[in-house]
Amino acid sequence: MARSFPPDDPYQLTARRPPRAQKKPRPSLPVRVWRALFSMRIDKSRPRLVLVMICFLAIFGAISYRLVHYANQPEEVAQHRFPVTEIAKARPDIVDRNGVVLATDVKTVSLFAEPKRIIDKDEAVELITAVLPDLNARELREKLASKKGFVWIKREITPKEREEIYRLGLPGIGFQPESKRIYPNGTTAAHVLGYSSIDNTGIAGIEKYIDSEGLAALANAGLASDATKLAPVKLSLDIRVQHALRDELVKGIDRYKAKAAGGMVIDVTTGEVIALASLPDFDPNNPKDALDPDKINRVVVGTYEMGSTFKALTTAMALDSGKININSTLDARSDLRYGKYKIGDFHPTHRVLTVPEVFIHSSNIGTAKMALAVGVEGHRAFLKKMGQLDRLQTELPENAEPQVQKYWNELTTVTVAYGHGLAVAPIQAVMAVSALVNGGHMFPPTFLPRTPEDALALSKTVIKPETSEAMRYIMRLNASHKLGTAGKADIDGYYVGGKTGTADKAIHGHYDGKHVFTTFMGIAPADKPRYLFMVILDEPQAVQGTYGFQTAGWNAGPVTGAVIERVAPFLDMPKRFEPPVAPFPTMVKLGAWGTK
Amino acid sequence: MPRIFHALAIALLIGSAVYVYKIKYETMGLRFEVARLEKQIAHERDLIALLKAEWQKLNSPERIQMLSDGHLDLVPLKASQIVRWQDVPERQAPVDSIADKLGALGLAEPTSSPKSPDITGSVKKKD
Repeated sequence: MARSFPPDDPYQLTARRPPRAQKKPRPSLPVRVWRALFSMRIDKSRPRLVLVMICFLAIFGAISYRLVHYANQPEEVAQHRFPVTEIAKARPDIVDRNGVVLATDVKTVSLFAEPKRIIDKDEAVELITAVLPDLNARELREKLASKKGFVWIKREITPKEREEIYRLGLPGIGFQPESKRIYPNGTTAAHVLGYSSIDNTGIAGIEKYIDSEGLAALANAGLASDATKLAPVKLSLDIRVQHALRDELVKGIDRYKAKAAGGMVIDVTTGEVIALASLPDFDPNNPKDALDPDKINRVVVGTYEMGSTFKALTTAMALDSGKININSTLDARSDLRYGKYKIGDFHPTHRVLTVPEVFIHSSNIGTAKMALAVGVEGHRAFLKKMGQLDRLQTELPENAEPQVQKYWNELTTVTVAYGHGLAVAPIQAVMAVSALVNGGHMFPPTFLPRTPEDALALSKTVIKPETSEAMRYIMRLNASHKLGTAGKADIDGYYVGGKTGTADKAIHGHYDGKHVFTTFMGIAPADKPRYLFMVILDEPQAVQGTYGFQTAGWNAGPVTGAVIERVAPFLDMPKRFEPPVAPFPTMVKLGAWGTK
Repeated sequence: MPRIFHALAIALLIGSAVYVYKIKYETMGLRFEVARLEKQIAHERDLIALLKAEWQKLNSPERIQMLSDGHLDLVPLKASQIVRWQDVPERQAPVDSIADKLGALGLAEPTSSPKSPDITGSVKKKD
């Protein structure tokens, strides 16, 4: 290169070199730009100026573009102003099957102070106590004088108080929005809903289920940030039925001086729990209430010997096995003896009974003989299939392991046949009886809405449809026949069927015959069951009007009847004015006892 | 010529600066408005939730039953009260025994009391 940098002669204004004869090759572009920028020759300054202008234009252009671009960006900074704690606390509403609110969040504001940031503490105390006269001025002064970084002044203030304090313009005083869980219906459905803690975490019931299943997943997906975006959780409960059931149970406890009660209404075609109540109960607005062990959910967590209602299972097993048919006869003339144990009947008949008679007389001997016909192993396998030997899981986090005897011999089979020696949660028995009457389809009960198709898809067939018809028939017979025990629940127009159960309670390891646990399982309408009603009463007494009886037919039965009569108008079960035509065709064909 | 151009450029510069300033402040105002409205919406939503809770509390079956028991003579519906349309008896023709009696006595016929259209009360208007 002929010319190097810096140039040989920077002051070329004075002298010009003669043009060179020798023609040099045109320098490359970077070189020319370089020269144009730094050449000091005035006549060559024009391209330099142009170049500088272009540079500046480019820079300004870029800045302008960025500004416009930036201005068009959606605002995101402003959204992070609120504390994250509020976000974490949002819970979805819980509504019943008709959309009635069962649990909801209400926003409250709490007042706090950061004592270090308060300039004039006396003034602050004076002004705050003027707005909140119920605050103790001395305590407040002590709080504000403390060295803590954060103190609560008052939890849950009203919007008006908040406004007034806001207007005071005190530094170091702030508001913390908080969500408060409200259960507007109080004790109604308390055991299903459960409750949540002060920081709005589900502790029990559906509230806990929401946390474990729904809310946790939602939070992970980043959707739970705002309560308004959370879809309400719809339950299968109907608040009207729920209230009626609870109210009738309260009356039942009152009337029969029982210690406790429980009840359930379930749709046998879907497994949806329409109502579930257990008494004594608690108010979820005051969760401390729920800690009393007497207030457990007896239907789900309590395990009881279900008594004669279990005979429905035994009868279904015997009929389904084929070893016994509806016309089989069973000798109930003498008591069964197993060593020192003697099994007799509560309503002794001392004669040979057919299967429907065994059922309506609730004969222990007859039922035991049916179970023995199937055998110990078959009996156990059947109960296993019906889910009576394993823990039943529902949406509710609470559940109970059935109490099954370790060694299962013939005596065990005999006692379990009539509902002693095996303690199950009532909801388990309800699941099994539902399957017996709905055509043999067993599916777990649910507290969430479910369609009959979905229920059928997850069902397993446990008994034959004919056996199911036989079960419906004998349950109906038990309510309609004058000798039956379920007559008190036979509400006109609903074609009710049912089975009573009275179990002696084991007190200090032996049955004293005075303390009983009574159950009633009612189905309606019996020709094509839609609902199953269950009532349990713990230690009902013989009172006026029960003629000295404390058996289920005199207490749990009438309570169930009252429930059916009261809730039927709410349910999808219109009253019928004519008895159904040929409700049990197979039974008539077989000429079963009671059809003529 | 270049002078006019310069003056124009300066005027444009100042004008555009003022315009940008104005837009910026308008935007800020709108942004505050948006924030205010959002806050108001959230507040209203909270109030709605509160009202819903209160509504349900007031409408809870337990409370309704308590009020009904205390103030009404109603009793729960019995199954026997639900009947078919055809079972509802026809309404009886109204029996008015007093009117019948009056008719039998012949008192329903018009009486011959003097007609005096300008009597409004009991006192006759004087001319």
